Formats: sequence, C-alpha cells, structure tokens
Amino acid sequence: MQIEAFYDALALVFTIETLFWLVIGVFLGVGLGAIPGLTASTGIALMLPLSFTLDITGALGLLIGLYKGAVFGGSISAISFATPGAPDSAATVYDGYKLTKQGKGRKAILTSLYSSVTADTLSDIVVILVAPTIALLALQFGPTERLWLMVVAITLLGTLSGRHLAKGMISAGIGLFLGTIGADPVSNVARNTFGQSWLRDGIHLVPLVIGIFAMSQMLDQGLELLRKTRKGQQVEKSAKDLFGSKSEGLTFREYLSCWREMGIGIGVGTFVGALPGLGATVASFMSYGIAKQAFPKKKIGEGSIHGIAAAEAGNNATVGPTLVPLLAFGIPGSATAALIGAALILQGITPSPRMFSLHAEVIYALFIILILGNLFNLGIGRMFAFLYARLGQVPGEVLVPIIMVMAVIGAFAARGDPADVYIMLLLGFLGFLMRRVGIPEAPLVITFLIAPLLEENLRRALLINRGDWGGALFGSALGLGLAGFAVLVLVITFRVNVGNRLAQIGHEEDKTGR
Amino acid sequence: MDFTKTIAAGAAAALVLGFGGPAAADDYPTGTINWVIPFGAGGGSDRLSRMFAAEAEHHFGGASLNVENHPGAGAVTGWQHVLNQPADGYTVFNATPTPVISLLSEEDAPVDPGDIEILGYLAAFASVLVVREDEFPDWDSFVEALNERPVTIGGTNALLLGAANVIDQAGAEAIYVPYGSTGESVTDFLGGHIDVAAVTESTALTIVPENGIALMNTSSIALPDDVNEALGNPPMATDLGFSGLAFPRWVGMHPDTPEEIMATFAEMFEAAATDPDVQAVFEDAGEPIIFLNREDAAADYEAMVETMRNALGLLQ
Amino acid sequence: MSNWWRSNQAIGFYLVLIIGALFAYIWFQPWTHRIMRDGFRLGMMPMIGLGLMMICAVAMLADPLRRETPDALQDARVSDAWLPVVMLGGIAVCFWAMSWLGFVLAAPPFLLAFMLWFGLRPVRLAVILAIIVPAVVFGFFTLLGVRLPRGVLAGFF
Repeated sequence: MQIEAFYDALALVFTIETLFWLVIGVFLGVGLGAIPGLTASTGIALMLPLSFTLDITGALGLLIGLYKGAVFGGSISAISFATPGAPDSAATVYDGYKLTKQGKGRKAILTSLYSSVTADTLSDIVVILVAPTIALLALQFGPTERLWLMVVAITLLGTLSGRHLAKGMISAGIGLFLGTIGADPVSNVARNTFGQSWLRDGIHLVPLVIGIFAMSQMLDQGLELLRKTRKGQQVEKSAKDLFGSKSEGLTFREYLSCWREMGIGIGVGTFVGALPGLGATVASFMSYGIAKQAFPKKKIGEGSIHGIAAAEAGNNATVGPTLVPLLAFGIPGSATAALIGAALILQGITPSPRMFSLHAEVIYALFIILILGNLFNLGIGRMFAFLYARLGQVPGEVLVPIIMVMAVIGAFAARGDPADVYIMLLLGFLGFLMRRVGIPEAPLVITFLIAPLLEENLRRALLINRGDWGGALFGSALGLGLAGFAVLVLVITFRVNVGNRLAQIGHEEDKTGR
Repeated sequence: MDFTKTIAAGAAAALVLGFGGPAAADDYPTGTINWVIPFGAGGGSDRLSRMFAAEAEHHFGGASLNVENHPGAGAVTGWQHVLNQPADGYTVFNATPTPVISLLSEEDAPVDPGDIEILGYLAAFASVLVVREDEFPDWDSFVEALNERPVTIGGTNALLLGAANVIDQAGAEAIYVPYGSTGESVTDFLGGHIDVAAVTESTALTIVPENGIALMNTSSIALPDDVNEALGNPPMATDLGFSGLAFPRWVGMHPDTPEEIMATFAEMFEAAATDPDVQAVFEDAGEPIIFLNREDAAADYEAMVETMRNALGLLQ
Repeated sequence: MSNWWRSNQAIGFYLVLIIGALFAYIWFQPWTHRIMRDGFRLGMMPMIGLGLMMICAVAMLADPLRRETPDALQDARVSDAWLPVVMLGGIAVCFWAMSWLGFVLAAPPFLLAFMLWFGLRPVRLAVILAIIVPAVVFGFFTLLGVRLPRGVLAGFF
C-alpha cells in the first residue's frame, strides 16, 4: 500500500465539499430509489451533468452516495406499499409488505436498512482487500460457467413456488415466454412480437416489475376499498392518522439473528456483482431463494425479517463489487458502473489497470468514499425510514390512486417510451389475475430475468464449441462443479418438499385417526 | 394505437402555444430546434447529445437546442417520430447505426433506411479487432489461421458487422459470437474464452497494450492520430484494399425539408462541430468529434447501408 | 360440484385452452420455424415456455390439490373481473391525457375521481389532495431533473 497516496486520498475526501456532495448523493439516492421506476442508474444518469462541474472526489461522492442510497431506497416503497422502487427490491415485497400489514412496517424498514448497510460495508471491504482476486475469478466465468450459474438460479424456483408446485411452474413459464419477446440474441431478428414493431426491444424489466408487483396489488386494494364502501362501512381511517403512530422498532438481538441471511446475501451479492451482466436483481432473488431453502423453519415469505435481510443484503452487496471489473480492467460490468466510469473519464482519469499506479490517490479516495457512504446511508436512511413508515399509514382511499399515478410515471420515466406504460398496465392485469387464482409472481420475475441470460450463454457456449453440446456444457472443471451444485440444490429441494408433504399427510392422518 | 402520433400532437401543440408557430424558411432558425435521439436518458448517445446541445447551441442562429428522447422499437420509434413532424427544419434526428440495423433485419420495416436526409456526422466509431499478440501477430497470420481452424470473434451485434464485413471480403470465415454488452465480450476475451474481441476504439484503449494488440481497424473513416498511435497504428480496412464500415453518430432531417433550410442547418452544424472549444470538451469526455460534412457523410451513409445489408446476412 | 368453476382443476382447464390457443398461434407464424445460423429455431424458446406452462396446466387437472379452491376465488364475483379493467382503463386515459394536457392538468381529475370512487370523504379533502399532490410530485421531479410531460402548459414554465 502506498501510504503517501493514502494520506493524499484522506485529504481529498475529508473536505467540506466532498462530504457535502456525499450527503446530497445519499439523500437523493434514497429519495429517488423509493420512487418506483427511478433506479440507481437513472438517478446517476440524471446527476452526471452536475458531477462534471465538481472535482473528482465530489463527483465520486455524489454518484456513489446516490448509488448506495438508491439500492437501499427501493426497499422502502417495497415494504410500505408493496411497490418495489426498483426491480432489485422486488424480493423484499413478500416479507416486507406482510410485516407492514401487521403494523410492523418500521421494523421491516429498519431490518432492510441495517442489513443493506452491513452487507454493503462488508462487501466493500472485500472489494478493497481482494479486488484483483475477485476480478481474476470472474474472468474464469465464460459462457459455460455463467450458463450453469443461471441453472443454479433456476433450481431455486422450486422454493419460491409456494405450496402448489404446478402453479409456480406456470408462473415460471409465463416469465420465460415474456422474456423471449424481442430480438433473438444470436441473429438479432425479431421474434414473438405478435407482429408489433414496438415490441422489438422486448419487455423492459422496470415496467414488468411495476406492473406485476405494484399495479396488481393496487387493483386488489382498490377492489377491496370499493367492497368496503358498498357494504356501507364507515371509512375508519382519516388523514389525521398520518402523524400519529407508534410502530415497533428493531431490537439489536433481532438484527443479530439475521446474521446467516446477511452472510448469504454478502456472499452471493459480492460474487454476482463482480460478474458483468447480472446485477442486483439476480443477486437479491438468489440470496432470498437460498436463504428460504436453507432455513425452512424461519418462515421466509410469510412476513419474516429474515427474508428481508437476505434480499436486501443481496442487492446492496453488489454495489462495491460492480466496480471491480471497472477498476481491474477498465470494463464496466453494469450500466451504473459505466456511468461512474464516464464520470471518471470526464475528470481526465481513464479506468484501466494502469489506474492503480497512475492515480493511486483516486483509487484510495474511491475506497474511502465507498465505506463512508455506508455511514451516511445509515443516518439518512433512518430519517427516511421514519418518514415512510408514517406515509404507510395514509388511508388507502388516498394512497391507492396516488400510487397508481406514480406507477404510470415510473414506468414512463425509466426509458421515456410510452409503450412501456401500456405494457405495465397489461401486466398489472395479468398480475391481478395470477394473484386471484393463486399463481405466485416470484418465479415469473426469475425466469423473465434468467431465462434470456441462460439462453444467450448456452448459445454462445455452443457457438464457441461449434455446436458440440458436451463441450459447451461440461467443457471446464468450474462448469462441472457448478453443475454438481445445481443438482445438489435440486435434490435438497426435492427432499425438503417430500419431507414436508409426508409430515403434512402424517398430521392429517393423525387428525382423522382421532 | 399510435403512441407516437399522440405524443407528436402534444409536442406540436406545445410548439404552437409556446413559440407562436414555426417560422418560415427565410428566417430559419428561430425558437427551438428539437434534437431527437432514439435512445433513453442516461445512455452514451443521450450524454453526448446533451453535451453538444449545451456547448454548441450558440452556433445555431439564436435558436435553442432541445434534446428529446424517443426510445423504443430498436431505435425506430424516434425515426418515425421525426417523419411525423412537419418538415420545417425544427426537428433534427441524431442517431447511430442501431435503427438502421433494426430496419434492415426487419422483414416489413415501417421506415426505409433512405427515409432521411443526412446532414453530417458528429462522430464515427470504429470496430477494432483486438487479439492476443502471441496468437495472431498480424493480419496475414490471422487470415491464415481463419482458413485453418475456427476462430471465435465476440462483440455486440453492431461491432460484429464490422468484423464480418472485412473477413468476408478477405474470403475467410469465422465464428461470430454475439454479446449483449461490450463488458461481457471483453471479460470473455480477457478470460480466454474467445479469440478475438470486436470493440470500439475507446474500449480498445483499455485493453491495448497490456492485454492484447489492435489487429485491425475495420472502419472506413480514420481515427484521430493520437488514438491511432495509442493503439499501435493498426492497419485500416481501406489500407488492405477492403471497403470498411464506420459506425457514425449521424445527424439528419425529414427528407421533405426545403433545401434552403437543410443547407443553412448543415452550415451551422459544421461551424459547431469544427469549433475548437466544442471539440475540446468532447475530447475531454473521451469521445472526440470526428466530423464529416454533408456531402461526405451522405455518401458514407449510403455505402454503410449497403455494406450492412450484406454483412447482416452473415450474422443471421 | 356447483363451485367446480372456481377450483384448481377448472383453472387448469381454462389454462389448457388459453395456452393451447397461444401455442397454435405461434406454431402457424412464419417466423417460428426459421432456422438461425447456430441451428436454433426462432420459435424454440417461446415454445419451450408454452410447453412448460402446458405441462403444468395439465398437471393441475389431475394433481392432489385439484379440488381445492384458491383463497382469493372463494367469494369472487363477476365484478372482480371488470372493475379492475375499468380502473386500468381510467389510468390509461389519464396517461393518454398527460401526453397532450401535461402531468399537472391530467393527474388531478384522475386522482379526484378515483379518491371519490374509492370512498374518500369529505369531498373537500379529496379536491385539495388531488390538486396539491400532482403539484408536489411535479415540483419534486423537476427538481431532480426528470421531465414529466408538460403538455399545453409547456410555454409557461
């Protein structure tokens, strides 16, 4: 370690200006992240012009603070309104919203905040210590290995399917089908677009998540409100409830009890984050699925803080590692990393392996900002958590129409394509129907995300191996190892399921025997 | 439902209410010129367009430049939007080859790639073939290897077109492995999973010289001298007797626009793109301006469409 | 068996019909059987998705949970289907209106109508909220640099 460069970096970071922009970044990030449709990358893109006018540490503070804040912020609206602020907090909806309904919204948000910050900090430390090693490991992941990683993610579907496996798999099928709409990954020819040219780009993840999770939920609640009115019941809540609530917080013991889930999130998030092209959404769903699989007794998915911890640790743990390929090779692994890379270039620093020797002080400053950003996230996040937990108490008659409008502008603002809004509304209706007949949403999102990646990597592996399936699937030791892991997950899922069924049947026989 | 039309109606209404109606040809331009890009906010095109609008606005006769994003349908939505606007010179289309590729790979495309009047290039990036020096020290050894064994070339669809174009002209074949993003293809190149990476010159700069050499620049337009030097002066497609393929950031207008207006705009655009202050800003952003005037750009565009039409067949 | 149409078995039956129709549609599209340079058919992945759904739908006809009725369908009424469609229609109209009236003018009537429809009283409160909320949202987004549709008000700010 170059001590001198480190001191220079400290002097750069601990200035009023840098700290000010870091605070602004986190503040904007949490606020933006909580708005459906405005994701971390949209936020960074919006702030990029402002960052040009700042010096290097100010710019990094603003952008990295915003990034960290936004990834956490998405969970606030997921928990309070069942409306994930960004796709990466969709997995948080299950447990988070159930807790809110039980009047434990504050506890849920605090769990999310603490697990996000814990996972973010620890993964940042991992990045600082072993960035080059992670980068080298990530290089070993070619199409074959990525293909198997996707298969591992798919095998987790079983755990997210709920009680009725056939319905879970139908959901997975819908996701797979929706994911194929657009251009064929190899030939770039339009497929499955129903002759509609505006479907050529495929369905975007943001309108899909807003439609399936948020809009369908709002339709359900709207219907409930209408029924209530019909029955002539008095509207119980009034707007004055806005500012008068005592909600349960989170104890230190409860926080500690989530250590396993956070550990899973950190492991999965750090690694998935460092691989290009996957990102926070895959990480949070994988982490959630693994935790659910590993600890069936914790009732993850039924309103458990452990589910929130797993999902939120998973997505925030990708924040630091996303920058690994950028720092190690100058290759941005995600849209967000590309934007941070653009900011560096505009400051006259081209991200490349040479950066470590040419601009060591900037690298160290970046590391310090990564860690420091978590502290600010903790403070500012708490403030927002307080505010939003109260917003959650606003009566449905007011909240539902407002969230409907926010869903529309969220779907529109993500890309500025009006077609996205209509797609979102259609998917909202699909989500509503699925909810009615008891088809779970999670498998749909997973296959929608993973199946196209699986297909791409499979076809790439086949191209590279000239059509030889054996070589494409089992051409490397690492690939074989991952394949073995996938089989292991499947076997465990099967055994746990069968075990549960047997226990259930035994229980029922007990009852009838009595 | 025609979304573009409703949006168009809104924008037209906005224009009428806001600025008292489009001006006649002789006092062009006044008010606002809408600078349409077919990509969403936050991408590279968006960033560069906004930078251009901010830095070069004063060259446009007092008019202001307003960047509008019209993404969708493989970047064709923006094109349709431009064609639905009045041909009065107040709607400019600034795109890349992406919509052209979409249109060429569509069987019944809603727009023809010729439905635009090209008024200049703002930049032209190249597809540079990056290889490991010990495998392929130069172009000749590369072609020799192509004839002997299958060689895998990875890159995004557009950049693979550049590679396929020259390799086809050299009478050889390769395996083209398409990637969704440059990040993935470069990672696979660095990890040794593919033999060649087809990347833009700015990405090539991050790989050369530590992890590979630039084997060839497949473009038809030369790179700036300093970039070329940093890449080790790779041969250009045209040096080897092939017709190259450049990936321009082109600027065009509705083909029915009065000639006077188009000439005025082309002049103003040239003045803006050749302004040293504007160029310096783009240079600093790592995306130097490579300007082509109306005539050269139109000729190159026409050739590009034909070359792409052929090369696309190799990738389908 | 009067309630058969709400059971899992019935849902499986409806799904078989829908998926079958979709499968037939895709199968007879000209692009479906086009072969790409790597030997894959263009329609392969969509058909795998449909095939997976079809297997599961058929499984639902026969699996042990077939007689069960999903909770949310227990007391479902016909209006459960068309009321959401009306809601979505209202939202779509609101968005359509946004593109020419602008967000600030299109959102208040929508919010007012829906708040009253959902039963918010007094009316005064609904009116105040319907005016204030869009203004605040618009202001906030503008501050963040996101341009919401401004429509006919574009000339004024």
